[in-house]
Amino acid sequence: MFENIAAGMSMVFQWDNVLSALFGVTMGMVVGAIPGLTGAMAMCLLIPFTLYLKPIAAIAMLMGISKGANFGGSIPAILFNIPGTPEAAITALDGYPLLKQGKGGKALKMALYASTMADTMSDFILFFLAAPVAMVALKVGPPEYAMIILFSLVIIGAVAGEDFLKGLIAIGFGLFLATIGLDPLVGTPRFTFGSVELSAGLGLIPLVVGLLIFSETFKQIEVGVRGKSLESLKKDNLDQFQKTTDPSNHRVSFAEFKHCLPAIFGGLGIGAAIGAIPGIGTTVASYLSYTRAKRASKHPERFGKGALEGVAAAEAGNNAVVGPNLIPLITLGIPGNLAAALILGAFMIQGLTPGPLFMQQYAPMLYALFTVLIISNVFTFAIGNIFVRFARYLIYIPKPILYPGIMIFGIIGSYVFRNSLFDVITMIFLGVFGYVLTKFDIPLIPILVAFILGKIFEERLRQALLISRGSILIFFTHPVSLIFLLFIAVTIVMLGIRGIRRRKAQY
Amino acid sequence: MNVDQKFGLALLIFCLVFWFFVIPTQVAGMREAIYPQSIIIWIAISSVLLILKSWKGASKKILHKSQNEKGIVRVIAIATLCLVYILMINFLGFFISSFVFLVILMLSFGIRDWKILITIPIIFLLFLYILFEKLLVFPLPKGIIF
Repeated sequence: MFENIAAGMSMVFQWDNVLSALFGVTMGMVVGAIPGLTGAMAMCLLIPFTLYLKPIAAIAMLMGISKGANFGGSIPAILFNIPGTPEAAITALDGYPLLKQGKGGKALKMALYASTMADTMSDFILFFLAAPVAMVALKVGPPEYAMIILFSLVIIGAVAGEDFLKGLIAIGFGLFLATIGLDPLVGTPRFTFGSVELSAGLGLIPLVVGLLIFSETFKQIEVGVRGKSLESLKKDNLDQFQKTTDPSNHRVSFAEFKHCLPAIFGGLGIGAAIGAIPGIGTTVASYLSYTRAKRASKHPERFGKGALEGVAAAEAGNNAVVGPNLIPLITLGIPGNLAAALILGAFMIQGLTPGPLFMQQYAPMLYALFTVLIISNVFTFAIGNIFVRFARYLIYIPKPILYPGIMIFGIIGSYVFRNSLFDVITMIFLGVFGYVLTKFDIPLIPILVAFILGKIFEERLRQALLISRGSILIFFTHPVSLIFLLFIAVTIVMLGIRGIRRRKAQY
Repeated sequence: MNVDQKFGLALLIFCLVFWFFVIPTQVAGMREAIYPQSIIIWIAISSVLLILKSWKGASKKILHKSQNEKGIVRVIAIATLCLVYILMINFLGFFISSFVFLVILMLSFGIRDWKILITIPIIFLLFLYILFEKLLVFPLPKGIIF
C-alpha cells in the first residue's frame, strides 16, 4: 500500500493536474454561485473536453468543479436567500438571518471553513476505506454484482423524486436506452432501426447534455429567461453586507469556530455515512446534519434566526458526502450520486472502468486522485476566501446571454465526443424527451445512472444466467446475492407502505 | 383521468408496441430478447401501479397542471431552431451558423440592444475559435459554403 501511495504522490505534482484542479474549483465556485446553474451542469458541459486531458487531470477538474460548486452554492444562499444549489437551501436557513444582522461575512467564512474541513476529512475516509472495501469487492461474482447494481438502482430510483414508482419508471428508461446498439454477448444489433450510427449505441455525452443541460434550458425557456436574476436581486441585502463597519462581523473568531466544531464533526459523521450509500445525496445529508446540530444545541431556539452552528452543520453535512460517495464508485463501479455518475462517465471516456479490479490495476493512480482531492480542498479554501468578496456580482449575469452560451457549449460538447452531428441531433431529441418527462415529474438522474450502469448490469446478469444454465435460482443460492435481493424486496415493500400511508393522509 | 393516469396509460401503450412490434423486429434471437423484454415488464408493472395508485380520489386531484401554453410553444420553436441550426452547419459551417443562432436566441430571450446582439456572439465565437481551432487543434465542423 505504501509503495502505491508513494508512486501516486509522484504522479500528482505535475502542472496539468494542479492547474486542472485549480480551474475546476474556480469554475465550480462561479457556477455554484449563479442561481439556476449547478456544478453538475458545469461537469456535463466539460466532460467531453476531458478527452484532451490525462486521466488524473480530467478527474481532478471534475472533482474540483463538484467541490467548488458545493461551496459556491452557499454564497447566493447567504447573500440573497437564493440557494445556488439545492443543498444550500439548508445553509440559507441561518445564513440569511445572519446577513440581516450584518454578519454576512461571518456566515460566508463559516460556510467556507466548515465545508473545506468536512470535505478534507471525508477525503481521508475515502483514502483509508477504499482499499479494504475493494478487497471485499474482489470476491463478488456476476450474480452478486448484478444484484448489488439492481439494489443501487432501486435506491437511486426511490430517493430521486417525489414518487417511488416514477423513479422506477426512470430506471426502466435508462436501462432500455442502454440496450440500444450491439448485444454485449453475441454482438447482433438491437433497436438500431438500420442506422449505422446507432450501432455504436447512444453516446453518453449526448445523453448527459441532452437530459441534464438541454431539458433544464427548455424548462427555463418555458418560464421565460428574461432577466429573472435581476428581478430577484435584493439590493438592500448587498448594502447590508457592504455597510457593516465592525470588522468582527466579517470574520470567524477562534472561540466561534471552537463552538461550531461539534456541529462540523456531527455533520461529517452523517455526511460520510450517507455518502457511502448510493443515491441519497447531499441535500438529505445537509438537512440531517442541521437537524442533529439543532437537537444537540443548548440554544435550539436560535436555529433559523442566525445560528452560526446552523451554517456550519449544513455545510459540513453536504460536503462530507463528497469523499465517501466515491467508495462505491471506485470499488464497485457504482456511482453514489450524479457527480459520481459523471466522474464514472469521465473514467469511461478515458478507457478506464472502475470496479473491483480497478484498485489492484491502478492503485498508484487512485492514490494520486485521492491526493488531488485534498489539493482541491486547499484551492477551495484559498480561492473561496477571495471569491466571497466578488461572488455577489455573478448574480448580475443576465440569463438571456448565459443560456445561449450554455446551449452552444452543450452542442459543441456533444459534437467533439465522436465528431458526429448525429450525436448533436440525438442530444436535442433527448433534451426534448427529458423536458417532456419533467412535465410528468419523472426524475432524470436515475435515467442517467441506469444508462451508465445498464451495460455492466446486463453483462453480469447474463453471465450469471450462463453459469447457471438459465436458472434464476443462482440469485437465491448465493448468500450475498440473496441478501441484496432481500434488501430490494424490503425497500420496495417499505416504500409501498409509505406510499399507501401518504395517500391515506392525503384523502 | 389525471395526469399520472394518462402518463401511465401512454407508457402501457408504449410497452405493448415494443413487446409486440419493436422487439420481435429489432432483436435477433429469443434468448437475446429476454433482457429487453424484462425491462419492458419492469416499466409496464410500474405504470400499472402508477395508474392504480392515482385511481382513488382522482377527482380530488388537480386534473391538469397549469400549463404555460405560450412557454411550451416557445420550447417547441427553440428546439426546432436548434435542429435547423445543426442542419445549417453542414452548409454554412459552424461559425456563421452559430452567429445567426446566437443572435436569434438572444432576440427570442428579449434582448433588443443591437450592440449586445452583435458583440456578445462575436466575442463568444472568437473565444471558441481560439480554444478549439488554435489551442486544442480540434477543427469545428465546416460547411459546403464556408
